[in-house]
Amino acid sequence: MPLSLVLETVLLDPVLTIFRHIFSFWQGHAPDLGLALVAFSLTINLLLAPIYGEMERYEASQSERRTKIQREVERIRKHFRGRERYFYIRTIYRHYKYSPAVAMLGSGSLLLQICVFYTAYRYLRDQPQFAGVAFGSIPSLAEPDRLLWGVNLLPMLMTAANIASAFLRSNERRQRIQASALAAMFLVLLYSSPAAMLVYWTTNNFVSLVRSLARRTGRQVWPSAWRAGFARLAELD
Amino acid sequence: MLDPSRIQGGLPVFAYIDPGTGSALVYVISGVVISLYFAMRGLYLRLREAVARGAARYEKCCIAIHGEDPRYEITFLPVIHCLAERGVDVTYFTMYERDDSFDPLPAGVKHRSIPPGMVGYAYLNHLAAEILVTTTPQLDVMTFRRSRRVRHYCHLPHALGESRYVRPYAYDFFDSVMCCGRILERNIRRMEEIRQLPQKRLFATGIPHYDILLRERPPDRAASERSVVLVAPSWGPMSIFEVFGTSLVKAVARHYDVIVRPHPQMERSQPELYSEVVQLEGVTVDTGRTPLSAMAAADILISDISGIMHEFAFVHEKPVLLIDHRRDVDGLEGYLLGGDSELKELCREFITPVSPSEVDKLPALIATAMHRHSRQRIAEVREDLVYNFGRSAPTAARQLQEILQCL
Repeated sequence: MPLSLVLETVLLDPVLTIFRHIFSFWQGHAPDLGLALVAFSLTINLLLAPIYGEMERYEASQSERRTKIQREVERIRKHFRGRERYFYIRTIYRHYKYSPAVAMLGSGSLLLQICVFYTAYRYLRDQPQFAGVAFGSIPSLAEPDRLLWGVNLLPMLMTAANIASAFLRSNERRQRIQASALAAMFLVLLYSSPAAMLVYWTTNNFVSLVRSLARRTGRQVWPSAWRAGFARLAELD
Repeated sequence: MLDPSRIQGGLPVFAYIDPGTGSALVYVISGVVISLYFAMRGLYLRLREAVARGAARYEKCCIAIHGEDPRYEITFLPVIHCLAERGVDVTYFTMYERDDSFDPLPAGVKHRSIPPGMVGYAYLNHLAAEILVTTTPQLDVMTFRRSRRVRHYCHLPHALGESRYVRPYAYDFFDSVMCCGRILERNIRRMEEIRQLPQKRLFATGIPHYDILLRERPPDRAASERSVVLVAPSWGPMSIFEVFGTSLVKAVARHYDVIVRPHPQMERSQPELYSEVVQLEGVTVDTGRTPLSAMAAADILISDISGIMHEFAFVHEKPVLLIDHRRDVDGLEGYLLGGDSELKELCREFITPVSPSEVDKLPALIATAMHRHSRQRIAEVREDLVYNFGRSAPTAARQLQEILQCL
């Protein structure tokens, strides 16, 4: 049996079963398939909140460490060249016990999240019932939405949420530029996707945006009733 | 598990991710690229080192002493003599040939000449010894790496200093440092705190070559009407001669007898300027192997380099005027230590900083410095700043034996 099949059976199938049950539940309770998709996306996000939180905490700690390392590397780059610079940068990594390879392996929650995303993608891809089903102004969930005079609106909403969330998550110019470039790339890549897929991921990105808003501004600007809700949301992290 | 090639409509599955995951993915990809770069570069350097090492044979030493340059002989020889007197097995590795012009080594001390540069370090990186003592900083940073068969690396500084003006990571990976004074000791502890390094052993040792300078110090010349000024600057773009030319010496020579001692490196690196300096009229030019006789003959020193200033002040107990170009420490350890040189501040009474804008007042400044000079005060500050003055070589030998016993 090929390894990929073993992995799919062991890792993917159990999650697919859970997804199937959740989506079936919302199919039976939501007024239409589009709202079932939105509810499905919200439920998955709620279930994944602890993992999101863990990942963000890890990323924040790594980001702080990388900032310190980067500051030292920049100083070395400014004053030294060639071999000397190479050896000093290597020593900086040694002092911080930092290895790009180990840091990569250390982000296990990232791999888990990609795994869950992939499962959702696989699950939605294999659903035949979206063909010809309308959702609001979207004529068919199996086709691109073409809501703005033939231009697809959902990829743009998704990208806007993506960029806004990225700006709320970080004040670092470099990270903002990087996230915006990625969002632009996703816009190009996803532009022609079926609306069902984009409803799911746009909802996903809006949840991410709300969480970023809650984290950044919840304590200062939201009404007290909302703040309590945000606090509960933050507790899930 | 994750198969990016599984696509729908030509779209990679990675595209369906939120900003956090996207950012982390970029981080992962850049991590892979950086890791590959470092792995390839490390492999290249290891290969170069293996080629340089060739088929060298290694013998096991007890205490290996590594001298990178002949100018550090004066640091090591007193310690080697004391170790030999104590019957300790010593092998002296020099990155130069020791011909008959060098002082002979004591009986029983073995000498091995190894090539300079990378080939020599490739040899040292595989040495077998209980302790390796060196003045070369940056162990395990550049090409001088720790050998798995050396149990203890000890750094022996060759001048009174602080870790402010040394290159990055100078002392970080040594097991011990034989400190010349309390300022270096405190600076090293501070750097350990900043970098969260384990504490290394710090010994209150002193400066072994001061023992020799003190013992061989010629008697001071008899007092005469005209005072003698020794001008002994560094070389390079910030040196006195490069910045002010030889006119500074000529101006001083109108009021005092002057001995000029150009830096030996100047002859190689700035031959035209060197030639101009040695041809100066009305001054004595000293190009002897050591500055001892010139220092004994002078009443005051003008310099811009730390080593000779401290020797002149602490061994000969005479005042110094320091032409004080503020050194940029941004790329050095001083950047992390912050503040200004503590040593300079504490020696200010007899190593007087003179800003470059004041050099035209030098004759008057010389008179002031000599007028307020106090040998007693120099001795007090020396006692505070220099460990074991005049007896640091036997101290170093005893401390090395202590290390041996603890291994």
